[in-house]
Amino acid sequence: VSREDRHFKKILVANRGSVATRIMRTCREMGIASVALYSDADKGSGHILHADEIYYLGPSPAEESYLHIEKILQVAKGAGCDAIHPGYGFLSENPAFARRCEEEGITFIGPSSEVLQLLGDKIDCLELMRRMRVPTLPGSEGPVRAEAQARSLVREIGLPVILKASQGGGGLGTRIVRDEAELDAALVSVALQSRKLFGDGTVFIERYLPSARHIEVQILGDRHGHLVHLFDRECSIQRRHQKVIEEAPSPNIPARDRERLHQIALHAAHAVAYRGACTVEFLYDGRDFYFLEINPRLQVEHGVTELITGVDLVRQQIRIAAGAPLELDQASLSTTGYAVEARVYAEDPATLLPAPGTIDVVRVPYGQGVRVDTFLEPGTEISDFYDPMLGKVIAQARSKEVAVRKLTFALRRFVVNGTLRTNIPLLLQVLEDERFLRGEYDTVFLEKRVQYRPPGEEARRIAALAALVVRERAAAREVPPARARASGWRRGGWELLP
Amino acid sequence: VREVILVNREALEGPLDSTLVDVIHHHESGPAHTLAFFFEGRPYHASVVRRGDQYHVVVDGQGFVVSFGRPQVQPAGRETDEGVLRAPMDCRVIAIHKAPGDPVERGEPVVRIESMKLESNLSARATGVVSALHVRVGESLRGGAVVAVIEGGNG
Repeated sequence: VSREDRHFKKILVANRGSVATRIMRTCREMGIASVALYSDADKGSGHILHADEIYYLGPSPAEESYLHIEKILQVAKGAGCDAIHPGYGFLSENPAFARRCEEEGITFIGPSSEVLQLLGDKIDCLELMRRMRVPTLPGSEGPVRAEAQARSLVREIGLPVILKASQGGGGLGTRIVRDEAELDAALVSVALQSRKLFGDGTVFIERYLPSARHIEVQILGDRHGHLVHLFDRECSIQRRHQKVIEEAPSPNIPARDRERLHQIALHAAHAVAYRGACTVEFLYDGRDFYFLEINPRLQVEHGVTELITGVDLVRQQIRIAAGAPLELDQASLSTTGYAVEARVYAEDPATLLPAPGTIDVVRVPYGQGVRVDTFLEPGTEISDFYDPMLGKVIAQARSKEVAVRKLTFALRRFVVNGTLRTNIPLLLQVLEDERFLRGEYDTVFLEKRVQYRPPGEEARRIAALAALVVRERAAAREVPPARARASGWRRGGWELLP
Repeated sequence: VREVILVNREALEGPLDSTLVDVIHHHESGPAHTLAFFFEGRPYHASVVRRGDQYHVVVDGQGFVVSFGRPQVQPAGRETDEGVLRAPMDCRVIAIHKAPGDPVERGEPVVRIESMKLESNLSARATGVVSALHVRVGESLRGGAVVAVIEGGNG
């Protein structure tokens, strides 16, 4: 380990699950000690096996553990950590947490609390982007406060529209309106919901694109004003506004449009003088890109970018947070082949509803160009307290066709057995879909155009036969055949019978 | 009476003969089994975990629950008595929309639950009157727990 890599002595990972193990891996590679946290529900979670030190945080509910700012800071200070990596979700985009880290003199691995504040307010962020001439969807300039204001706006921009919470994200606190008659009620409902979810009922309106793709650009920026992009990702395969399958690079974009997309994203990141790793998200209708938001953190799907660029994004985040200048310049960055990721969730593949439970068996696939980011161990309990993601399986190859085949095989070999269900069968179905292979999809593809096919009679019969073999073999061992025992005694010895 | 073999809660058609399976590998570790076998000339790999009367099987990424004989308890969501409302999964109650004695229409929400950040309604599957309510707001429920009983139902 070179001295140059020792930017911090010890990093606390304020997260759990797959992202915690992912961050700890890079810490280890950089010669930095890592600290894991766990709640009651996570005593059997594999992420605590990857750290140098582990600390108990509190009861299972996130508010009393992974979202409890003061408890986390107390552990960080007690353990002598000089930096905190927030991962994604939980406190990663929380300006109050970043501010408290700044006050305590612990480096928050991410942007400043001011930038988090600005980007967390979707209305302020959109206003800035419009001022900077970043293309956005037509919509309200500022919050929508009155029903009359909403109606006149809708007449101007046309239906359908989408109502969004200014403090929202991840699809929470949104509603699509297709009929003007629904507008008033929708406005009230989104405002109520967002007040409940985010403590702020401010709502804005945007034009809704019924068929568009979700495409995003990875950005890195240092403390010295240098910014680079690490190309794009395709994230249109979603359910409930959450991505399920992601690819890099995004397919079917004309070269000139792609170059323009990267430049717009860099321009947007420059507008907030971004420091760290972020993702600029867009909708693409096949002709134009529309800015959605900037995610000021590591993304779940960062792995596909890492596999095609060879850049470790967590390493870059850590270096940037320590004040080091970017070790990459735009001209030195390029992509190799194609990568595709599937998020494996504890979810019923038919209903897409969470199906938590305990894991008895876990077997992770392997092979060249196959990466699995997970935290599962036998005995790990997937509780209903946190996100039900079990891990991510990523495959990289020279072409989409080969990478998809590789991922398909890897998912078939990813065994997660126990009382939970997984969405692997649905993922496999998407990967085998001709439309997916051709890149012909939009953000409602999975929910509207893929009909889940449950296993057929043949597959059910195979499963039943496997269970029957296990049952019969156990029965044969538990109760030795009467004939064998009797004849053994008759001979007056203990010899084994054939 | 031949036993019923349930795969994912539905009866399998026809009998099952394990002598048609050629097992080439069987490893056992506690309740967990790993099998490699041939069936009708094709190789298969299976993970089987036995939990009580149920066998959790994974073949090619697809999960199955296999049980033999008649199930002791009706699985959640497949209640034959439409008046019994059960939790479909481990969840928490976040709101209660009906009180005992309230009339309820089929499809009408009775309680609101949350599981893994996802909220959903648990709706009556029969029209009638709420005769019993077994949960409180904030309570954590196991999948299959009885939430409410609706009487006089004509679902």
